[in-house]
Amino acid sequence: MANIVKELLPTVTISSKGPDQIVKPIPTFQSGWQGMGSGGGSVPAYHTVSRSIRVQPWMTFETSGGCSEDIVQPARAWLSGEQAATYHCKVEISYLSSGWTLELESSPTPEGPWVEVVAFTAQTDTVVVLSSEGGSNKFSGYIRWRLPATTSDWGACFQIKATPGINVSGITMTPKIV
Amino acid sequence: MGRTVEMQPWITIRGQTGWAGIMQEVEDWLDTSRYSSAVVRVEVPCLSSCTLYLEGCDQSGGSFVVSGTFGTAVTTPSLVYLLRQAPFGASDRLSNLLRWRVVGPGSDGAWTACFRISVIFK
Repeated sequence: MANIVKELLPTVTISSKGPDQIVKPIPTFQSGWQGMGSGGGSVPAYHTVSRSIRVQPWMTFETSGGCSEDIVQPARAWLSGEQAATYHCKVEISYLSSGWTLELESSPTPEGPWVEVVAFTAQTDTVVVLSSEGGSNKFSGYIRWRLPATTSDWGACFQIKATPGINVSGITMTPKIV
Repeated sequence: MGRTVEMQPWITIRGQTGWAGIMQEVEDWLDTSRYSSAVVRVEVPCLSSCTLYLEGCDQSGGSFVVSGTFGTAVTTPSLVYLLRQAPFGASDRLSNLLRWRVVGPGSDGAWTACFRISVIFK
């Protein structure tokens, strides 16, 4: 009679950081991220950083006389919490009209409600960490950018790239399987 | 028979005073290693207070050489001829990687660039 052995748990590996930190091996996954450029390629365990996601390529918006409606990022390019619990977002704003704002907002569902997570009011080249596991910029579900309506001439030129990462404030790692 | 590649679709970028410039993203640099020559077609209908450079390098970590410089807007496309074999000057050589870079005036003011770049390979 054949002995059938079912493995109920994957093999655990002791982290090199210390005997008390037992980390479940993170399965390799393909970086099939949305965005331009060549994707693919497996990522070894412990390295949750994959190829960066081009959330918004360099884009310039301009108008004269204002804009009566918000300009919102198309849904197909929204970042999703299904891919990673934490994103390190590089936000480059080479031009932003005075008094105007570029917002990153989040919602648990595509339908909303959308809540502002972080706002930029001036030219910048910065990295913000957005995490669903806590921290100062907490998001839930989906992330998108938004340019609010205005009654005056305005312009904005910016790029946003994101790299999935880990929330280094804790030792708990949440593997994401794609 | 040659092959045409759109190295950069129409793009408009702006920078406020102090923003040094914008370089084409690494993922979009053009790999030309399979070709022996290229004609780079650059359309620049708008270029204000900045310079558009076409640069080449044989490897991403190496030193980039300027293959073309565009300092003013033009109404007709400009062509840059690049060859992989001698005789050629350093700026006429077709490197393995091509990229564009826009450099603004730095602290001297804002800038704007609108352009498109296509490459015909052979």
